[in-house]
Amino acid sequence: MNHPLRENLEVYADQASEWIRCTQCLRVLCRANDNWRDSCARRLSPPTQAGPLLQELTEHFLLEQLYCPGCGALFNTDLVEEQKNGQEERTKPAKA
Amino acid sequence: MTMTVDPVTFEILSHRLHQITLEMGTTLERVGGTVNTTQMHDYMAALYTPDGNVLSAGESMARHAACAGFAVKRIKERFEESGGIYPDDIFLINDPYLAAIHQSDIYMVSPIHYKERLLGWSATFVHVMDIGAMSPGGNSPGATEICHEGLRIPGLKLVERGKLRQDVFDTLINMTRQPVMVGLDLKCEIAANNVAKSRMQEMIEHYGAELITSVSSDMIHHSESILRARIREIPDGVWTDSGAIETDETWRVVLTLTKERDRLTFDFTGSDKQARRGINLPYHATFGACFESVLSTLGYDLPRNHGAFGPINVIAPEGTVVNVQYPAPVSLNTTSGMKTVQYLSGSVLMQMLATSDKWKREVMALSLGFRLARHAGVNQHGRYYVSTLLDLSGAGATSYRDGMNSGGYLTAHNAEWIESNFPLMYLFRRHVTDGGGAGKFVGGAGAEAAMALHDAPEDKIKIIAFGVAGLRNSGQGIFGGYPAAPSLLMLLEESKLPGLIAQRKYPRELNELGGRRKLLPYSEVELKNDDVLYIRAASGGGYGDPLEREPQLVFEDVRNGLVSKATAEQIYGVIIEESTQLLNPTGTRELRLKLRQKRTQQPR
Repeated sequence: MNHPLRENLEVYADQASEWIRCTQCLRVLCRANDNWRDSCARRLSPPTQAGPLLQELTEHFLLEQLYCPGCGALFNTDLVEEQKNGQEERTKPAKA
Repeated sequence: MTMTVDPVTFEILSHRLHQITLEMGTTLERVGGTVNTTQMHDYMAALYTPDGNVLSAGESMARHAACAGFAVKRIKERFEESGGIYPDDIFLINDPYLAAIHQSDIYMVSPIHYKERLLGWSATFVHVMDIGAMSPGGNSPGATEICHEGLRIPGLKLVERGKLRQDVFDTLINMTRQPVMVGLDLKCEIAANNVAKSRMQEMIEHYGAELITSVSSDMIHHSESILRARIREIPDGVWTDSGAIETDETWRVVLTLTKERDRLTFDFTGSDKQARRGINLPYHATFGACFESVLSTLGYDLPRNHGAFGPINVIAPEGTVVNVQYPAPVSLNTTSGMKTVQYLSGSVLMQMLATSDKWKREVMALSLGFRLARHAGVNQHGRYYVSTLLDLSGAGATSYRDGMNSGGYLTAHNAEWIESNFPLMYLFRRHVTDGGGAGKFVGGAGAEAAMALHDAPEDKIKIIAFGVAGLRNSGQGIFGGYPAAPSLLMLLEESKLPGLIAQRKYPRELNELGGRRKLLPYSEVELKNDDVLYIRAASGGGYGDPLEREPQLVFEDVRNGLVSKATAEQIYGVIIEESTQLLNPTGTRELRLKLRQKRTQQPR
């Protein structure tokens, strides 16, 4: 059964299986049971990319954005914790 | 025995019950005297069935209406066994391990009898201005156990058969720093419960007890059956989210929502153990937050009552930050643990709604919290006082419109009222620029304010900083929407303000004030003559992709001072010509295309 998943994403069923795809360019990202986040184009940037008043979050958080690799539609924006070794840690587990 | 109620009578009487709760609220505001009750609407007024089930939660905080139902049940258990429950009695309870959320929120519950027969209950709470805790105002950053947090009352009879027990009343207010104002707080609750009783008795006199009982039962059944039907319309699934309460340590709260047929299970398994900081929530408060989230998403147009309990199951392991056990503290919880649980329960419900063609329109960006402060000292009239400072937060954007500026949590006090009652002077108070989270629909702007000491007899007052203490305490974007500017509470020590005033210069920006900037964590500090206190309320999170926002709307945001030209260009891809100050549609189209192409070049 087709149904929306979130803005710009939907669950789409064909005869074989269920898939998650971009509603703007219809690019299939993954199977419905897989984590669609793993198939996205991903950008990490300083929190001030979301606005100058997020200055205080610098050195503590990074702005993570997930896009459709086909058309650049934005699926998700989140703040993730910045770790001292330069890696970032997700503070939110993958959402359905 | 219940009667069959015709639909017209049902509508009239159910709305009349709702109206009684509104009149109770008005009574709290008119009889009360503190800023919390009269201006911030930090109160609750509701009606209950004889068993203590929510009959009408009114329009105040539904989480408290759920908790006050637990309060009625605890009072019934205690006083049916010993002490008795009689017409015109009024009981008081504020024990967070039994029913309240933290001690400052004092519940008063009152049986409603008609001709000696118990036909229901009314209940109120107000956040009293002091509760005898280690910090003025009750929210105690230094408390490591409940015994540091003031009076904890498991239930007592304050009014016996219509007569105030003056000895009990005097004892209670005598244990606080502000006996007069706390006395007024308690009396406004007595008044509101008396109003409820009178109005209910008038209804029963006019319509008869059997009809009122039938309508009550039908109201609860009506809400539950519609709510269950709505839940069934949404695909089954599992959604998760987690949040953090950040102070000197970080506590995680984890939530999984499982939707199966017409049932919603909120499972907090995996959340951190309870803290030795007052951020912990009792189980009934965690339940109340989930109840409120369900009502505000799927049941906003239904009678708000016990019917919403039916489809909800809340799992919160004992001894965690969402099901606190004795003796862990709780005094900071309404703006920390509670805000986190409210955010998470809302977040998983929003993810659920987004999977339904019928319900996805209701999706809204949510807020993780904000900062605020109590202030205490001797005022310009020579009296000791305790009160509250906060400012107006912005509401989150929805799937179809921008968030409301200043439309978020609670309401704020009037600046002139603050200045006339307390030794404070506002330097500015306004909406922030670039505060609302960007998106196809932008989050509402929060307010910012700076204030300084003025005419303070002791040349200082105490500031108790609390709220969600971490940096990420603001509106969170949803479905691509950007996070909003966080709430800040900052002290500018030894500022240039006295010099500026001497030169008759009026500071309009924080930078003009100089001074040493100190972000305030959970703490108690002094505000002295040369200092400035800056409060920035959280703005609302955005919804969707900022590159999909109508350029004309961005242009208007810039003209209204809510978005800067730099943000318009960098985040929204909207160009406003420097020379004409007009929107450049061609340049905007080209820039947006370029920004979008750049996105696809990001690594996976």
